[in-house]
Amino acid sequence: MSRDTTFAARSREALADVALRRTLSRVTGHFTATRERTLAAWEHGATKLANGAAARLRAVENLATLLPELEEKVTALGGTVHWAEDAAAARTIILGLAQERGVTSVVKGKSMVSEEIGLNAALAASGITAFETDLGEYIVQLAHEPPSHIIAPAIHKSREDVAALFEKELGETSDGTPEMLTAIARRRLREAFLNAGMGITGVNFAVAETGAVCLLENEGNIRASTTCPPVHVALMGLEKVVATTVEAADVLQVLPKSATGQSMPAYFSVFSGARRPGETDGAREFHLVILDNGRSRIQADPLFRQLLACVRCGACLNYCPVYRVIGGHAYGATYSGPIGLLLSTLLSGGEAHRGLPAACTGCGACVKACPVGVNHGRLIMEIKRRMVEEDFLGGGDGFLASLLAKGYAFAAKRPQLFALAAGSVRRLDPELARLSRLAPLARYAAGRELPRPKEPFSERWLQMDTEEEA
Amino acid sequence: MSAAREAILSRLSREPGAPLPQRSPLPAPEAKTPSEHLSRLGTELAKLSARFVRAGSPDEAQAAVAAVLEEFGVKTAALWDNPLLAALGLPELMSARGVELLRPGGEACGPAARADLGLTAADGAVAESGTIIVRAAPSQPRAFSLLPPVHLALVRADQVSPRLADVPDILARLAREAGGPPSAVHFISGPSCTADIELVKVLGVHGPTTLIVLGLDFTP
Repeated sequence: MSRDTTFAARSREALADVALRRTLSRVTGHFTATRERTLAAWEHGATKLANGAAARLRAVENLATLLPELEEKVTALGGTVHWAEDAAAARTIILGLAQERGVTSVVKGKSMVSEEIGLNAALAASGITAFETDLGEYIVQLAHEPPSHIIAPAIHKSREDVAALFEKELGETSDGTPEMLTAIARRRLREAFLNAGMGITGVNFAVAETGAVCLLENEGNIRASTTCPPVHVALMGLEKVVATTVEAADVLQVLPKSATGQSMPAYFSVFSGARRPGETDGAREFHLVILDNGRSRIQADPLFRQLLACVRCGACLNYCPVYRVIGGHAYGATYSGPIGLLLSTLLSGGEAHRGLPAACTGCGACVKACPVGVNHGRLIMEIKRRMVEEDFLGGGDGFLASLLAKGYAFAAKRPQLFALAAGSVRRLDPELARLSRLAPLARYAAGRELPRPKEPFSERWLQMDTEEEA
Repeated sequence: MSAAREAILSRLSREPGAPLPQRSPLPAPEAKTPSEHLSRLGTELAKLSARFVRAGSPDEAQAAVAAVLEEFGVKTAALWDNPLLAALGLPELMSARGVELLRPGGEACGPAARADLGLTAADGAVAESGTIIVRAAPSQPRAFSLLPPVHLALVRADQVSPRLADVPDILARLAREAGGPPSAVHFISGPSCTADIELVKVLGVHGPTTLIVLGLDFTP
């Protein structure tokens, strides 16, 4: 699916793809069902959710003090911290590290930020081979596609698609079972881990008070990328820091639960600098690249700041009625779904993403799913409001930057506006049912139903135990 | 200090937003014996497609290790230099069965990738999540718990913490034991796995296909 077309055109294309819609329905249904089942059985879940959210929100508020503290601690552990204003600066830093060391191949752990800065293309242009090593990422890389889901990048592909891809790109024939396809990837990538000159990973969260960088995964590719190559470069959006180890543990308890329903992923790794003297594996050099790329502007806006609390669990994608039918690629941006709509519009900016706010029906399902309390609905509404205001004012260059610079005070001072809007959505539902009896609206309303907003997740899940018993 | 650093930090707001909720500690867990924590660890590991074997004596532990060697036809094993493994006589047991032993020393990844089995002794565990914990050290290469297709980890009952809320205390203890934060601490909860193709769970992507935890319910 091309990124050059409009959001509306890409959506139409996705909607016409019956196989894609079937896959999306199965995948998002699987994720939401697993999540709800495990959350219902989660001991002290309400407290854990509240603590995780508080840790993230406190961190986002205190970035100006936490980031220098993190830098100091990472440096004290022998690591090197690099600051990147934007995508180009981050690419330059990482390319420079690779070239200075004569690196010709790198292995990469799944990192959305690496997608955001277009790192693979930059590495390729410099003659450096980059292997995506997460199985899903490996598949989409071979297919020359971007990931379509934060948690499951290749979930839009069937086993037949993957088998055909492996045959075409790798010359590997298989029986088409996920087991055999996985075994092929294991063999191919094992070689890459052992020969790579550098491992590049993202960061799930970093701890300011200790300088530790924490990563979660199920496959072991991040462990291999940090264990075998001589250099580890961790790339983090500047918001991915928490103050203390206690708060890191609070986030740890929420992230996998919300993402996949797991208490813990197969591997949770805490890295504190490079290998110590006498150790016989692990990177000899550790570099942390802290990326801004529009985040500081979001942080400076009191209303939009909450967006940076996001832990990238992907829950809002799975619950979004729009994502569930169009999938990730239609967004035409690195991040998809409700969180992606916001991040893409505010981070990468430009007219390219101007159509994205239309991908919100205002149903509020994302708000209820969010473990850290991001109010996507309110933020999307505010983006639309500012866009309208900008249009009346003439629009033009840099309008997205000005989205963040202007007008927020209006909505920030009027939280009741959002409550009112959300309330009206709740009331609309029976109205739509009644409309269906009136021709010519009958044809429109038949088969249409507004999602029924439940109580916010933070309240609803408190009742889950009792619902279960009843 | 770089210009980018100064520019980024200067843009970040120090103004507080809405009042933030305070952290609330979890209620204290029910008091349990190490043996009970070990049982919970085993129960949770089983749910994660890992195997758990309990040993009530050194003899049982040795028998369990011997059974693993037999089952997987282990010819080469990568072993940590670890007092617990030594106290149980495991290096001797393996040598006696003709298993080639790879010990720490020299770059670990290449040899570890050729081993049939990685044998480690956990530095801690978390019962509620079915997690065992290994820290990197000169005598404890990271690759031994990652690259061989089978990872066998020993854990003593008295090492098992009840909850994930204990993770900060565990990390602090490991830093004390190692004389500073370890370069890497890995929390392992089950074998390497993926569901990236059609949501079908497949074990053993880049790490071990099989994780076996041998719980020692005795004082070695």
